[in-house]
This record gives sequence, structure tokens and C-alpha cells, in this order.
Amino acid sequence: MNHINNFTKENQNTEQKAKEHMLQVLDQIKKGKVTMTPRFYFTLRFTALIAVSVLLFIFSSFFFSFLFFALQASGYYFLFGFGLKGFTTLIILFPWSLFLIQVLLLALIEWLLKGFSFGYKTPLAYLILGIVGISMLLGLVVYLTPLHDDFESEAKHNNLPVLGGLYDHVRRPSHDHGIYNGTVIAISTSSIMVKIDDAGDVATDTLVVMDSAALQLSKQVSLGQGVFIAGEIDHEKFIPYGIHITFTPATPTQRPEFGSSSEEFSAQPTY
Amino acid sequence: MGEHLETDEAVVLDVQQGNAEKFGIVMERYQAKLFRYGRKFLSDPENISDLVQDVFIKSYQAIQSFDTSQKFSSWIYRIAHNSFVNELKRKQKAPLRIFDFDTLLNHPVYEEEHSSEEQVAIKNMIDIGLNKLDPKYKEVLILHFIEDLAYKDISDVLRVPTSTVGVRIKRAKEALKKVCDITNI
Repeated sequence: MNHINNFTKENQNTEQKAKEHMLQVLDQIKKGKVTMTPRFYFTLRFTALIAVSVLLFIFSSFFFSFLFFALQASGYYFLFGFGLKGFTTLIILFPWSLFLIQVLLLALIEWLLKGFSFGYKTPLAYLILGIVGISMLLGLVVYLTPLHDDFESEAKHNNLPVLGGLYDHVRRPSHDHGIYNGTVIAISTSSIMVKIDDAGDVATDTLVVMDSAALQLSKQVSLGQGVFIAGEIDHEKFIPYGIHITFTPATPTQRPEFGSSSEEFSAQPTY
Repeated sequence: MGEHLETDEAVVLDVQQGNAEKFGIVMERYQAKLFRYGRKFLSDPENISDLVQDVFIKSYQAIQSFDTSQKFSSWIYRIAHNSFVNELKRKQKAPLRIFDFDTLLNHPVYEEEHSSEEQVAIKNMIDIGLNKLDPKYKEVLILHFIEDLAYKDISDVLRVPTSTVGVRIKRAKEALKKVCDITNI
């Protein structure tokens, strides 16, 4: 009986306290101690969402179009066909800083969207796939315009602040990672000579592929052909793991009179 | 008396337009409901009462953000839910849940109809086994079976897709059944 009395008493106390609390809140409202936050404050979130969305789509279309442009201009997309090593090099050369900005913008937009029913009612994967899909399409459209060619040209003349650095070596693959664009200038059974385009940071402008690799390659390439070649240096020898013919001259070039001995191609590349 | 027959949304519209006293009607309507909701998360009545008062203050402050074409109950339950869950986390020192894979994809879901006997049985099971459940299952069971909110309204309270609510309720019922089986209830 005592237990029931205590329970009833507790309930009465709680109800009494609840009423007091309600009166306190009303009193605070009347006295102006508790005030409504103005409507414009809440519309700021919506404005921020619009602004971030615009920023995201501008940045994303730039990001994807630049990726398409850089892959095509440098020839990096040939790396897809060079097996695991080619793919690994592609991952290393990926513009991760731009990708990080893209991810941060996506996270920000996702957070802003959480405040709106459209945002939280749509499963996250669909939302991200939708944004990335639209961005890729926009990127493709931008890629088809001369925007990046113009930017590259401006960057060459140092007229492109902030973004200029992106275009510095966009047409020259990374020699540091053993990737070159060049022209086949000599072929023998034991070596192949490739004249490097835009040699820049390498001491010699000629790449020499020797031994078994050369034997294998000699069946694939012919003189005067442009090649995109990727490889590694092992005991001062260039061992290619992939080669792609980028162009074949209209008039086949004569094979030079180098003879067949490897000694004639003894020049080692210096990196 | 007539004003008490107004919908919540109509009352809130008046409050938004400057009739602050009408907020008293909102508080009268939701005081008991929110208190009861709080009891499912917390045990100390004094603490719950303070939190409910805090929910009303937060609601009044943010009332201009409420879209009167939406359901007010979902909106105020959302504020209350956040307050109770935050308090619970503070007390339990639970780790912050950053990402929930349930919200990643769409799940096929339909809102189950339960007979009144089933409802009573589930409510009884909830009373007994609730504290042994994961908070994310606990909250959907309370909102659906105790507070009688539809999946769509729960989705607004928890800010997750409606399909996620369906999946959680299904899993919560399975988890609850398991708890009851283990404890021979």
C-alpha cells in the first residue's frame, strides 16, 4: 500500500513540476528572455546549400574535365593497358589533392542536405552516385570545349594564377616514374633507341632499350613511329613494361645503317 | 476551448506570426507525450522534466524554421529525440556513431499492419527487453509501437530514409524476440 502511495505521490510531484516548467517557459517568453531565432537565419542554411552545390558542380566539372584532358594530353590513359604496374603508376600519378577537395565538398554538401527532407530521405549511395554522375557528364562537356587548351596556353605565359601549376607538365609524362613520349630512331635485334620528346629534366634525350626487351619490342615497332613507353631502370638498363604506338609516319623511314651489334647502342640513359 | 481544436500546425503558424502565448497550447499538448517518450531513454523523472523544458525552449527558439505544411509532431519529436539521445550518450559515454551503413542503399520495405493483440504483445516485449537492445533499434521501436508514428514520420524524426526505418524495425523486432527468447519471456 505504501508503495502505491509513494508512486502516486511521485506522479503528482512530476505533474506539478511539469506545470511549473511550462509556466516558467511561458514567463521567459513573455519577458523576452527566450526569443525566436529570425527566419532569415534558417534560410542561410538553404543559401549555403545552394552556394556549396554551385561550387561543387563547378569544381567537379573542372576536376573531371581536367582528368580527361590530362589523361589524353600526357598519354597516361595508355597505362590502363600496361597491366598491374601501369595501373599502380596511374594511381600514384592521380591528382589526389584535387580528389581530396572533391571529397570534402561532397561531405559538406551531404551534411548540408541532412537538414532537408530531400537529403535525408535519399539513400547516401544514390545521392553520391547522382552527384558524381552529373559531375562526370558536366566534366565531359567541359572537356569537349577548348577551356583546358586555353588554360594551358595561359599557364605557359604565366598568366594563370593558382591553377597554372596544374598545366606545367601536362603534355609531358612523368620521367621520374619512367614514362616517356618519344620517337623510335633506331632498331636492332638487341637494342632500340627512342628519342625522348621534351626531354627536359633528363641528361640525355635518348632512351635505349636493350637485350631481351629490345628483341621483343623490335617486332612491335618500326622506325619513325611515335611511342608512349613506360618502364623501370634495372642495373642501368631500361626495362619497359608497356609500350604504345602513338603515331606512324605517313612515309616509312629507312632503317639506319647501324649494323646489328649492341655495342653501337651502348649509350646508357641518365635520369 | 475552440482554439484547442486547431491543428498543431495552425497553432504554430499563429506563434510564428507573433502570438507567443499560443505556445502554451503546444506545451500542454506535448508535455505528457514528450515526458513519456523521455522515460524510454532515461530513468530519472527530474532529469526528463528538465530536458522536456529544454526541448520547449529550443522549439520556441527554432519555431521559425518549422514548415507548417509538414507535421509538427515529427518536428518536435526530432528535437526531443536529439536531447534525450544526447543525454543518454553523455551518461553512457557512448562512442559517437559517425556513419550508419543502413542509410547507404535503398531497401525494399512495406509498413506492416499489426492486430491489436500483436501490438499489445510487442509493447509488452518492449517494456521488458528494451534496455537490452542497441539504441538504434530501441528508438525505432519506441517511435513506432509506443508513440504510434508511421514510418514516414519516424524518417523525419531520425533523418534517415523511410526504407532504413523499415529495415531497422524489422531487425529490432528480431533482436527483441531473441532477447525475449534468451530470457524466457
